[in-house]
Amino acid sequence: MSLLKTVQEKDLVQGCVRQDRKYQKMLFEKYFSEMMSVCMRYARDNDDAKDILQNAFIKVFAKFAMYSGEGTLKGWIQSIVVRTAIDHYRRQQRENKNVVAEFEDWESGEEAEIEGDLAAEEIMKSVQMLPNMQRTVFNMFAIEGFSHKEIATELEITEGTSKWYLCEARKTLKLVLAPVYAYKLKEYAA
Amino acid sequence: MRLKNFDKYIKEKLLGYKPAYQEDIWKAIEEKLPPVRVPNGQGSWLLVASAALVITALVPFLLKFNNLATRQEQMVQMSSGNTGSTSLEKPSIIGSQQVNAFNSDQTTENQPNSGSGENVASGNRTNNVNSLNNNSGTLSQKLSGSNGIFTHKARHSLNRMTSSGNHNIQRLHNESQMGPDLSRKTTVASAEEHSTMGLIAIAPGDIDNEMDGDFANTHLHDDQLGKYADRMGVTNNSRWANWQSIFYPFWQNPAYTGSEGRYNFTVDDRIDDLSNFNGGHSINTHTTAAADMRINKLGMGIGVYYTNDFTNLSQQITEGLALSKVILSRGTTSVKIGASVNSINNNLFYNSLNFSDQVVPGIGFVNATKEKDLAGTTQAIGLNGGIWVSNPHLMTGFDVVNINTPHLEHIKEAEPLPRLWRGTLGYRFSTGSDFQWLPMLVMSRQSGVSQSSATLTVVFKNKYMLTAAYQDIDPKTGLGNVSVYAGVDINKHLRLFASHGMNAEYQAFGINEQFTHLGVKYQIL
Repeated sequence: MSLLKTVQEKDLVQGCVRQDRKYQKMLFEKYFSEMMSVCMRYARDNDDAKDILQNAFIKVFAKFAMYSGEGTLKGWIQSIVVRTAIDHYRRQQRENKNVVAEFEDWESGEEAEIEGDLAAEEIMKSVQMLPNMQRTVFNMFAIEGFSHKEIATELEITEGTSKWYLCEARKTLKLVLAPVYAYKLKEYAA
Repeated sequence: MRLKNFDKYIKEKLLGYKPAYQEDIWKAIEEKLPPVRVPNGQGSWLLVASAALVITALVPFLLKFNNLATRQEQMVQMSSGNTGSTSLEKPSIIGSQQVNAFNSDQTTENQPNSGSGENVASGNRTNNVNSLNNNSGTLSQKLSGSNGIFTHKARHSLNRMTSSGNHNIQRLHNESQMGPDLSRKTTVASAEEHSTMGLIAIAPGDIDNEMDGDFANTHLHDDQLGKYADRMGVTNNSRWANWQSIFYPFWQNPAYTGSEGRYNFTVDDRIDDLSNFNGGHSINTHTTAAADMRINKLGMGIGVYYTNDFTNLSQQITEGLALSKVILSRGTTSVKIGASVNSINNNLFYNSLNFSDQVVPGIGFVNATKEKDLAGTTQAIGLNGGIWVSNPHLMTGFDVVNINTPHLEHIKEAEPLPRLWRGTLGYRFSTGSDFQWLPMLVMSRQSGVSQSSATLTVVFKNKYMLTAAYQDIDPKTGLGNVSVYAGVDINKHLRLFASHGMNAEYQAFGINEQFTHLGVKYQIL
């Protein structure tokens, strides 16, 4: 990793364009955390996230010659990762058309109150617990900034369905996160 | 905190999440990545080409330095009293700076004999003797060092030297100052150069896709090409790998016998045209006919050849038999060894006026010497050996000519034909679906003198070949033969090739030498 600090991004880009393994690995190391985080948001679990990340970086290295230099390298890589995650979701949808989400019959309660703060890891786990469609729509809308129209196009659903999944995802997260927080308060009180 | 900004809150939290690096994911990615095109990455062919060019550029200067150092040592030795004069002195009879340039190529093996000739010769005569012997050494190296199809410079070095030698001998004889030992020595030296030409004219053929036995792995199969990413989808015609045999005399290495095809037949002819040569004009020819084949079940190759070198001073016919054997085969890499034996018949014309049974005007028949007439045919049997290592990228060989340092049969006092040590190195690679490249270096050493040649070949669509060559580079001047070669595959069996070039070294001395070459190869793969 020390070598990575001394390598400038342009050298990294040139090395990857040459398909030099050393530079490819440095690139992977540099952006692993951020891209793995993206994958985990879209994935059901860590194994799923690893699969997405692998496929995404294989695409990154294969298409590196297409990187024009416009925009940040990180943004370019992240767009490929997100796209790969969406493809992953689509594939899962085809394989699990009839799978009913675990939380679908949860009641949509009133807005809960969350005071204080939550650990990022817990929130990540909560997101991963969401049903596929809710998780994907929530990520695309709330994190990546897609519009409902874009989401509808990407996921081949209607805009209304997209809004509904987003709403459901929010409700689910609130329900999931509030008890965790409450539990932690009890821990602190003890 | 109320959840009014729930999305924002979740987003900030998620973006702040940084999982730890996991090496196993990289390893999984690395396994799935496509193989690197060539070692060290996509652009490494540039490295290979650059290295070849740099080496090509440096070799002549390195050799020049090395040979200059050797000559300096020799000059010091000579000046300390070993000989009566230095080899760098200008020969008085030849009287030409052109020839003087070759004189300095002399080696210790070419020191004048200590016989009666040197004892009685003095002044200019001594210089003449030295010049002749030195020239002989140079020629011996030049000719033997470049036995191939395009040894233009060597042949004309011989031509010029033997011509000069003739004049020298005649003058010395006329003055009754030179004994038979010296004259014989000079003549033999000239004959040696001729006798080393065209030793192993084994016809290069092509690759057999139906190979069996040990030969099965000695060259490319179409189904093996996929193992080499830079050739994948490019060289489904494996014949391209053999273009180098046109301009580079790999057929001189007996280990190459039978390597290229099941049956190969080659006919080749070259014409050397010299003008302003000794004030005149000269045309020399070199003709080769050769055939070789492989015996797959035995992993052996066998070949026969015939060469005819004709100049205005001599004719030499060489007939030979060559054998090769695969000794190691690993994957697509093979190692072969080979040996050849040849009969060298050399007929020198010029001595017929100088030696026995000559008629001197005003005197009549004179038996000038009891020695056997040096004119006419002399013969020697030469043995040669080599090793050949090749795979789809690498092609390297090493061979030794005149292992037995043969003597011409009826001149016992003559120096043996010197050994020639020769190494070759070529590397094949492609830069696209249509282009293959082959840079190649050849290094040889004989009688203490080194020479080098460099070629760069490009093959287009497995059918057309073009080569730029700088061959037989003189270590002293750094100049050599500049040539362009071209070839085309007419059909599955027939290949035509031709070349044209000029001698840059001679050009520097005011001699215009152009050489033209035409050949045809018929192959049954």
